[in-house]
Amino acid sequence: MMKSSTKITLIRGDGIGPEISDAVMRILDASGARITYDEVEAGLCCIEKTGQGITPEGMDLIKRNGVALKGPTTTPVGGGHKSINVTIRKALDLYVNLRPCKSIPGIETPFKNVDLLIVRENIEDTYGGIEHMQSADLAQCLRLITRSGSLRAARFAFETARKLGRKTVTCVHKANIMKITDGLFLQAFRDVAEDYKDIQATDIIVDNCCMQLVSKPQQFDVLLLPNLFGDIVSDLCAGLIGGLGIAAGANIGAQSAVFEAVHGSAPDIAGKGLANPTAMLLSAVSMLRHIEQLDVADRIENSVFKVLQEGKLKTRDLGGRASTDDYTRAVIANL
Amino acid sequence: MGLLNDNVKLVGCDIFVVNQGLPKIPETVGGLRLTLISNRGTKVWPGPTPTIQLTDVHRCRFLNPKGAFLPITHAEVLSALGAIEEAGFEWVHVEKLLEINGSHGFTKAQGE
Repeated sequence: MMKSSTKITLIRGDGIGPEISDAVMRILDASGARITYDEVEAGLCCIEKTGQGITPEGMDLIKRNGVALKGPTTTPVGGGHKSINVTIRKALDLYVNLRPCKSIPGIETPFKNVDLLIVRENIEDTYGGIEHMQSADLAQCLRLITRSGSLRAARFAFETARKLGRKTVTCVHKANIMKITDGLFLQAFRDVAEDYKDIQATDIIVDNCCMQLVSKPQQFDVLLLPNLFGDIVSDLCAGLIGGLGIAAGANIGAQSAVFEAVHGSAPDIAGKGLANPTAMLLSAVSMLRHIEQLDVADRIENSVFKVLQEGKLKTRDLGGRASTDDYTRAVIANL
Repeated sequence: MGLLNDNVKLVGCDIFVVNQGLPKIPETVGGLRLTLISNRGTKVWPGPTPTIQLTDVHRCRFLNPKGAFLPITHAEVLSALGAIEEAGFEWVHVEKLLEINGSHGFTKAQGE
C-alpha cells in the first residue's frame, strides 16, 4: 500500500539558501521521500518586501504543518532586526536545539570515531536579549534560567538518549561561578536523571568540557547545555567532524520542529554554484527520521557518506573542486 | 554627579512583575503608559499571545504617554511602582530605559 505523504514547510532562505535548497529538493525527490511542500519566504528577501524577517502568515504555516526544512537566512547587522532563527525558535517555542556530530567517512579531521549528540536549551539564558545600559559606562544583559525550562530540556535529553540507545547524558555548566543560574540548570538535570536510572548522568564544568572535547571527544555521548554554552560548544563539536558545512541541526518543540543547516548564508559565494548542501541535506535526513520515513533517511545518508568517502566529488569547503550540481548528481546516482 | 545629564536621558522603565499567566496590568500607571509585556524576552502583549511556555515573571515596559521615548521623571517611575502594587501586582525588579547620546540604551523584545 502506498504510504501517505507529509506536507512540510520549506524556507529556502537567502544567500546560498536557494541553491542548496534546490539541491536538497532534487535529492529528496529522487530518493522517493513522501513529502509535499508549502513554501514560505524568510530572510533578506522578506525584509525587503515586508520589513519583517518572516511574516505572521509564514509563521502560521510553519505552525500548521508542524515540520519545516529551512535554508540559511541573513540577519542584517544593525537596523534593529532580530535574528530570524531566534524569532522562529521563540515564536514556536522550539525549546531544544539538537545537533548530532558524528565522524563522516572521507572527511579528514584530527579525530576519529566521534559520535556526539548535543542538546542545547534553546529559549533562555542570555538569548532573551534583555539588555540595558545601566549608565553611560555599564551595559548589562540579563541571563534568565527557569526551573521549568531546564526541566523540559533535561527530560528531552534523557528521552532522546533512551530512544537512540545512548548510554550517558552529561550536563555542561558553570555552576561553580554562576551558582544560582547554572546551579538551577544543574539541579533540574539531576532531578530529571532520577527518572532515568538506565542512563548514566554526569556533569562537567564547561571550560574543562571544551578542553576534553579537543583532546578526547570520544569519551562523551549526549551533552546537555544551557543556551549560550550550547551555541559555542555545538560549533566546536562541528569542527571536530569537519566543520559547519556538514553539521546538521534541528530546533524542536512540543508542537513544531524546524530542521536547518547550522551554517550561515555565505553571501560571498551565493549564486556561484560552489555551496555545499550537505549540512542542509543531513538536516533533511533528521527531518525524515522525525516524520518516520526511516527507509528514505537511511538511503540518503548512506549515499552522502559513500560520495564523501570516495572523495572524488567534494565541494571546495571540503578541499575538493566539485560544484553544488556535481555533488548533487553524485548523491542522486548513489541512492 | 547624577545619572542624568545632557547626554543621558530617562525615557521609560521596564518593571518586572510576578504573576501566574499574563498579568492584566492597567494600561496607565503613575502617569506612564504600558506599551509592552514580554516573557523571557518574547512579546506576549499587545497582540495575540504566542503559544509559548510562560515563566512567572513578566517584563512590563512603560513609556511617556505623550510620545514614545520622550523623557520621563524618576518620580513617575516610583509612582508607577506604587500604582502597580495598588493594582494588586507584585514587582520584583526595575530597569530604567536610558537614551545615551541619542541612542537607545536598551533592546527591543522579540516580536516587538
